[in-house]
Amino acid sequence: MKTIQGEPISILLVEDNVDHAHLVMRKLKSFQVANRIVHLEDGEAALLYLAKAKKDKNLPHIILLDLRIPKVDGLEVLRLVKTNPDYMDIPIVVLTTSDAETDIARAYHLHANSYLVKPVNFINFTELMEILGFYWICWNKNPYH
Amino acid sequence: MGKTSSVSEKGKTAVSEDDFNISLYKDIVESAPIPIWIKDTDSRIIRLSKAAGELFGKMASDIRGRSLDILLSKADADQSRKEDRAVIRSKKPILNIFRTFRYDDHGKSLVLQLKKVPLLDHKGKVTHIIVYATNITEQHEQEALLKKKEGETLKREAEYKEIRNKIVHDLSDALVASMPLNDYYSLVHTSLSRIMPADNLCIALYKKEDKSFTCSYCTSFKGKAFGKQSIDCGMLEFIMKKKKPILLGRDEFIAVVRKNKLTYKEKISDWWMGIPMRSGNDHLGIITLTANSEDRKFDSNALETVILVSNLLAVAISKKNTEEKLAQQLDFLNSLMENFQDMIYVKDRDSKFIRFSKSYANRLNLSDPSLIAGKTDFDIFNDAHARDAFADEQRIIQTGIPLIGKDSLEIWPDGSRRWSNSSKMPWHNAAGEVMGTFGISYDITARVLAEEELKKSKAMLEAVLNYIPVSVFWKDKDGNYMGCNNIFAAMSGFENPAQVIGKTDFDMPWHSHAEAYRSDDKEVMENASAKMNFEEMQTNAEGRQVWLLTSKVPLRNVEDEIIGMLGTYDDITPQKEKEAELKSKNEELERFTYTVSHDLKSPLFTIKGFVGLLEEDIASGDAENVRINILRIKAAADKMSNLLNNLLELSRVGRFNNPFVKVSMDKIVRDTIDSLSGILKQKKVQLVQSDTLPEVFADSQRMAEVWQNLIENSVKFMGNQPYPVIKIGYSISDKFLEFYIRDNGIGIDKKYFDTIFGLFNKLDNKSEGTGFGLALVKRIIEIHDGSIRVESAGKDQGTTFLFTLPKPKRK
Repeated sequence: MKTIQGEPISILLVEDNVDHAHLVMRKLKSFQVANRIVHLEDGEAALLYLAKAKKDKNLPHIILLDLRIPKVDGLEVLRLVKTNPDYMDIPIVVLTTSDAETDIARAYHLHANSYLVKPVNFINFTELMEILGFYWICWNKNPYH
Repeated sequence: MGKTSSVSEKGKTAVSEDDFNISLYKDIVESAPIPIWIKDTDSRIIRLSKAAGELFGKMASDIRGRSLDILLSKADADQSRKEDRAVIRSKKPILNIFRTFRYDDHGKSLVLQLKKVPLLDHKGKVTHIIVYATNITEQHEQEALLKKKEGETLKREAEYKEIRNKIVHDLSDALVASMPLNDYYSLVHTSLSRIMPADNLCIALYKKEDKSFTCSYCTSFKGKAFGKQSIDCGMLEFIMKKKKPILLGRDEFIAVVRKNKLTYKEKISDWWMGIPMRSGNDHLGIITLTANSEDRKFDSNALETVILVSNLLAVAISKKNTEEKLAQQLDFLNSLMENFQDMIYVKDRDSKFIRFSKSYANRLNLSDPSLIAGKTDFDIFNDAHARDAFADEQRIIQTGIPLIGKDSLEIWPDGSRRWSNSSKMPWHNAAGEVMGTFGISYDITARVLAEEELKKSKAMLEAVLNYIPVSVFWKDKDGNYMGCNNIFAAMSGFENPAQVIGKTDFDMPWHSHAEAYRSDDKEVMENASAKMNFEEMQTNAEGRQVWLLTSKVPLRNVEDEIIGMLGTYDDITPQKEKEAELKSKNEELERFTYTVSHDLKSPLFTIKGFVGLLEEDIASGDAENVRINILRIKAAADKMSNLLNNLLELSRVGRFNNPFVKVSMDKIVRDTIDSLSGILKQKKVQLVQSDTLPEVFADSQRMAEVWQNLIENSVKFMGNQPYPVIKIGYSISDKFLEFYIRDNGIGIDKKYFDTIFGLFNKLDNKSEGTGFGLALVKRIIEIHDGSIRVESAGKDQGTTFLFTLPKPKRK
């Protein structure tokens, strides 16, 4: 698919909870990115994927990142991505259940582009996913790779 | 005589002329101007010279032709005849015969010196004796008179000496009888006047103070006294300097050459005598005597006498001086005894009171101080005190060593308790013998009480300093410790504060902090401002790092000068540790809350989300998705329930425990292995236990949970190990027992050593378990005052969990 500007978008979703990943992907379906979403369940896998994608010149346009993920913690992934010149351009949207102040502060400190808390209320979640889709997938100007 | 000899020569040769010769001789003899007479061999006088006739006077005719016997005493007559015979026989003359002739009946005598010469005939036979006489009567008489006079002089001298001795004797007696000095002068005067003719006697006393002479006694020998008057006489000073008596006659003077000029000392009389009086090296004065007339002049005999008298006088004067001094001293002593406030007493060798001051009598409330004479301390004080004093005094008497400044408590007869400071000394008489003791005491009760008060308040201060539960210390300006309290000493590893004095921080267990401490001290002293309640580290005597809450203030003396610094500190290590523990607990709680909220939210989100999808799917009639949604909802709800159970379980640990008892760890492990035998068999895990595990003090049920979780964990992470082995054992250190469980499974990365014990921390999403087991184990071990850690060399290198428990106390 193309964005409003006609750009094709690919998304990396790092989420250990498969149920949560299922819900996110289902809600983003309406933006027709299903075949462009890569879902990985831990930080280590995400970093390995990025390294391979760099090699294949197939880096994602946006990363949706949960914080509490196994092996390599979400904040650590954020740090590594944002300090690596190869990946630092990629917008990272933190998508997590944690609304702890420390998490929010740390994430922005490590140059997260956005921080979103998963609303427990399904209607709100649906709305958030739509806004997220419109904003990051349709409207946001992403860097060229 | 020559004539006689020549006559004799002729006689020998001219025998025929004998008769002629004899006749001639007779004539010559008769006319000779000297008394000569010729005797025949029968001592009859044949011829007398004219001079001889004159000599014998009217007796001459009586003796012619006869012997002289009638004029001689019988003895002299015999002697004369003996001489004659000797001349005839020996034919030699006899010279120097002295003979006294009775001249007349009145006893007048004639003393003649005779020479008897033999007259020889031609045959050499003595025919006659010629006697030559010299009249020495007058000379003889004069000699006799002289002899008589000499006898008289000797007698007079003896008398003089006798009088002199009498004078000396009298004066000595008067001296012994301590006659008053003025009477003594008088006595000297009268005594001297008995044998001395002098005109004037003066006794001039020398005054050392103004180097002058005072005429203490001056009188003429006629009995007139001049009385006392100052005199200034050059002669006196001269004698004083010479230290020798001087006697000058009428025409004698003392010549003095001064400044190359000859001068004469003035003399106030014709005859002058001066005798210095001395006692040892002291000049006492000078006695002078003067005479102006021949009949009153004096000689060296007189000088000798006056010297004798002057010696006695010197003794009298010096005795008088000594007595005056003694009297003065006695006055002084009496005054001292009467008025001195301190108590003075003199005791004999038996420690009996002889004398004591009025103050002493007053102290005893005695109206009559003499009442105490002869008493001892035993009559006044209690036995113990009296014995003590007696022993002191006897020791002083025996050793002669004084006792100075002894403080003692005296209980007086009136019951009052007084402290006194006494000094006692041996009392020597003039011969150096110890006659007893004398002492002086003064009341120091006020001082002693003040000192006791001071001691008490000092002791109180010390007690406060030592009981105050903080360390207190003070140092001088150079950083030397001047003192500290007991706690400080103990913390520095010393037995008492005295050992700390003089040390510096470099000598202390915390020497590595010394520079920092001293720089603080310096700041406080230089700025004269306190530094209050700051925290600092210290290394204590056990080598342990401790936290201190310290305050330092400048230390000032009474003049308000800064002489050092005073510091206090409190060991706040326990607070600090508690604080750290609290902080860590807080952080843990924060993590817990975070974890719980996240982990509980997660299934909630899932449930809500899928319920939403369910509604959508029902609406769209997607039956397959409806079924899947429901299953997911169910799974999420189960998960949530499981989480809640775990949380509940964790919170129970520590709150709901079985009592700690002594249990065999070996049995706990065996039982646990039994309960897990199924899964162990299934996974083909070999369990090795090298030692019999010791007894521990624990909640056995919880301890079983620890082993169960750890064994399950090992089994779970065996990976593809074909020969899984779990080894269990323990070791002992000073304070702890350390148990371990080692597997040869997949191992663990170093970076997860801490996080694996966190709640719900799973290393791998796909692995089994909830991430709860190790958190529970950690919690249980902590409840048992132990700690747990993990070791692993890395991936596929196996894992070892080690946990400690305190050693059970011996019973």
